[in-house]
Amino acid sequence: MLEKDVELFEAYLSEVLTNAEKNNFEQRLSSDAAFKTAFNAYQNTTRLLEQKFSAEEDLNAFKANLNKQSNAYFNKEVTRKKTFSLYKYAAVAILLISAIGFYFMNSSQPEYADYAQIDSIALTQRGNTDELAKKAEHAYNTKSFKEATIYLEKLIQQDPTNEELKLYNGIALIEIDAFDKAFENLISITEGSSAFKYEAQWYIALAYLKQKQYNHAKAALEKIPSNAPEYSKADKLLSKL
Amino acid sequence: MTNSFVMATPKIHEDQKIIDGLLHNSPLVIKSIYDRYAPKVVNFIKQNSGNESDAQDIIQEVLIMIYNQAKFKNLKLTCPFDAYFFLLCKRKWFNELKKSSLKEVTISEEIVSTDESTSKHAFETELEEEQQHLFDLMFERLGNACKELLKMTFKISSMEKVAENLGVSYAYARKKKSLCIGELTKMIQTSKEFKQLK
Repeated sequence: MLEKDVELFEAYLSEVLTNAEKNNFEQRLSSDAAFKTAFNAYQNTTRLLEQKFSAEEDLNAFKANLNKQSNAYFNKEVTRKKTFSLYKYAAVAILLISAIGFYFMNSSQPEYADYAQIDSIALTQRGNTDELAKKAEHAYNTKSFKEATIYLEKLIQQDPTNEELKLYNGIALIEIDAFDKAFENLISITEGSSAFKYEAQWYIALAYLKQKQYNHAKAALEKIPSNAPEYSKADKLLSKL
Repeated sequence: MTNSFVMATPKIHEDQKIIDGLLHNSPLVIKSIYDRYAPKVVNFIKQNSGNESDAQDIIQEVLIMIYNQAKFKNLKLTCPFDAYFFLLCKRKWFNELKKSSLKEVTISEEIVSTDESTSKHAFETELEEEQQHLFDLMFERLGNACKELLKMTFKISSMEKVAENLGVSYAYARKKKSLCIGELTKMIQTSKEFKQLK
């Protein structure tokens, strides 16, 4: 790669060439194969540099999130296995007791609090320093759901197609018993095709459960297909209703 | 650099939403990938001389590959995510096994019918990873002056500012930058790994 060529490549990519120079350059690209190959390689290196440094922050945020989810998934597997043998006998005992209990009070229905598992959310990733997102995240994660819904509403106004925000808002609204508004948020997600579709459907069922409308809860659960990740918990809850 | 063979644009698979979720670093999407697709990979690796912690590493590496492919190569899935993800995990694990010749390897390769679009996606994703890996390796071998200059150039997007920081003229900074990129390009192209690419 010749020194004067690389300088020319850079000048072309930085758009500092005059029109005449630019035309010359492009003509040479189409007539001189070696020149073109060298330029393509130079451009590819530039792209890789851009990836490495301009997008470093995004990639690190992604890796951090990935790491967290990966550990959550695999440690759960490990703990389940380790504790199993230890608590096998205890489990049998508990099972017996609850079976007896169930026999005597089988009128009891499952409760919302037993199923609503509210995980922390992360809205401020990717170097996002948006104050509003920070406030929403903090309120939600400290279980100040009323406050969280106020911030989430504002974020949704700014980003009306963001289904993830709507899902969090729906969950927070169930927590504060604002069911109508919760349904509004959640139903719009289930009508779309985002990755949150069945998670939203699951929370619709939980909203009914919290209001002790068991038939509605059942109907909502039945809409979760067997290939959705929410299916197994939906199926378990269904069997108790 | 671009795939120049022309053909009718294939239909994008509905699982593209998973790719978009990864790209937006959505915790829920990542979690659902683990819940839905990790068990199959774990089983496969366990049946092929590996353990759960190997599976954890392979899955993480493959998800980073997919993320990069989405971000920098504008990946548009035309096959199910499951097939694409599993093929990448499987091939990555086989490569690991090949590298560690310490183990007596028994590969219970099932006959999988992988369709063309899945293989193509997987191939492109692997190629991009190899390229990036080679690039990282060569970048580390670059002289310190070039490393620093390039780092600064790509972190601060304005070349004028870079020149100002270095106390040199804009034209000089640009010239230096081009020489460093030229050198890096040459190092990549003359490496023995480059010849093995593709």
